[in-house]
Amino acid sequence: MISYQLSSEMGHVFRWSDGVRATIPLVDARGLPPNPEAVEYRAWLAAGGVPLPAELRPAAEIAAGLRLALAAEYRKHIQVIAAGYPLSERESWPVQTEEARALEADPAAATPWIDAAALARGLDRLVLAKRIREKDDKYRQVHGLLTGTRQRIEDQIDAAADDALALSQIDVAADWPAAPV
Amino acid sequence: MASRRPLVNVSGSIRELPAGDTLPGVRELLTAARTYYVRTDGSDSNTGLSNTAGGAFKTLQRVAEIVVPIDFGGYTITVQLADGTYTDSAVFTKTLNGRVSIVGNASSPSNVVISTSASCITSSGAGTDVTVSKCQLQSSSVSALVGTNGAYITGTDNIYGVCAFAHVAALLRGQVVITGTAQIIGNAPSFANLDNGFLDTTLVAFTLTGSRSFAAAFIYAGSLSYARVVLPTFTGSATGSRFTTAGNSMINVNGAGDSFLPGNAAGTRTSGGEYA
Repeated sequence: MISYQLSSEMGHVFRWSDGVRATIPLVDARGLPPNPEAVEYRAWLAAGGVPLPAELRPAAEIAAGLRLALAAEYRKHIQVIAAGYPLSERESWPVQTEEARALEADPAAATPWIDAAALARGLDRLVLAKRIREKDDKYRQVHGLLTGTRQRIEDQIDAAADDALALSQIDVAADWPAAPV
Repeated sequence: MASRRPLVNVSGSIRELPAGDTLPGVRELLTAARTYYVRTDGSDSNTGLSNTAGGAFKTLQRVAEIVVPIDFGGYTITVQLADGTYTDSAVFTKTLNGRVSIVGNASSPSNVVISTSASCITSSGAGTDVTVSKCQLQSSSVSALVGTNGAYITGTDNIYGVCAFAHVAALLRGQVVITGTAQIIGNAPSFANLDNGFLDTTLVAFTLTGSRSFAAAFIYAGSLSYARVVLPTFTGSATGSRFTTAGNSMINVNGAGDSFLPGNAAGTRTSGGEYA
């Protein structure tokens, strides 16, 4: 993978490829063709490329920042699937799903939470149990996708170890699953 | 009209001078480009005109001697080096009136190694013009390519191994021109050392492999020298000072910046030396 990094001076830029750095002059000289590597860099910029900053922070500092940003990104996505449910109701989800699965397995099962909720909503207790179980199935699937994505990015951070350049190329906001419909 | 060989009197018979023979006091005039061949299994008593063990020269120095009396007639003399390791240096020390082009292996320059204790190839004398291409060059005591006393030497697509003084040196109004690519695989105090000399590396693609170190400076420009380092690319990195410019010398990097040249220590300007 090729990336570019600004230098501390305007006259040249660095190109990184497989961990090898090339120094590319940027100032054209009258009467000479431009440096071919500089031409490629300008095309890359024109295509929307964004060079890395001139000086990379220490790897440990970059990694710590990435982990914080990743946690925030994960919370943001999880909040989307939990939106609209007050905390007190979310605390009851384990009870709801346990009773729903028990009721679907045995209509005679004791389900005090579902009995009360179904009575209050004017629903049949089995219909409510089915709705709870279907929502739980969808929630588990989306939660698994989001958690797996977070773990994949954590693995990337771990693999980069003390390679500041590799760490700086990790985007914790990229490649998350689309929001559930 | 076809060119004719000179007529000579051989034991009373007038005949054309045999091809390859010369007349004392008369310069041979080339009427076409010429190629000399040098092989590690050749012999300096051969004519150098065929690429066989029985026809090729053994040393480049023999070429440096044999081309001196030739009138190049505007043609280039090519010296084709066969694969192998050559341990004799060559000094083109007499003024020539044309270009000598020394060529190694186009597809595998590392197959033709010039590994000497003295400088590998020296071009010396006003107007002397030598090019060296597609070879691996290394010198245990001095430099790979040297241009001195007003001579030119051009290095194209070469590999530079360990050198004790510099990979290239331009002295006493000598000019070193690097074109194409330059792969640096061995250390030297400097890639280029200039003392009242000229260096041009316009648009060269440098590659530094491994951990290269330049104990003096990547470019050392001493008294009244000029290094034109315009638009090259450097792939890889090195340790040591990026440059030293002294004694009213000038290193021109076309505005690429003080940290443009390979190295991990700042360059030095002293005694009127400039870097821009």
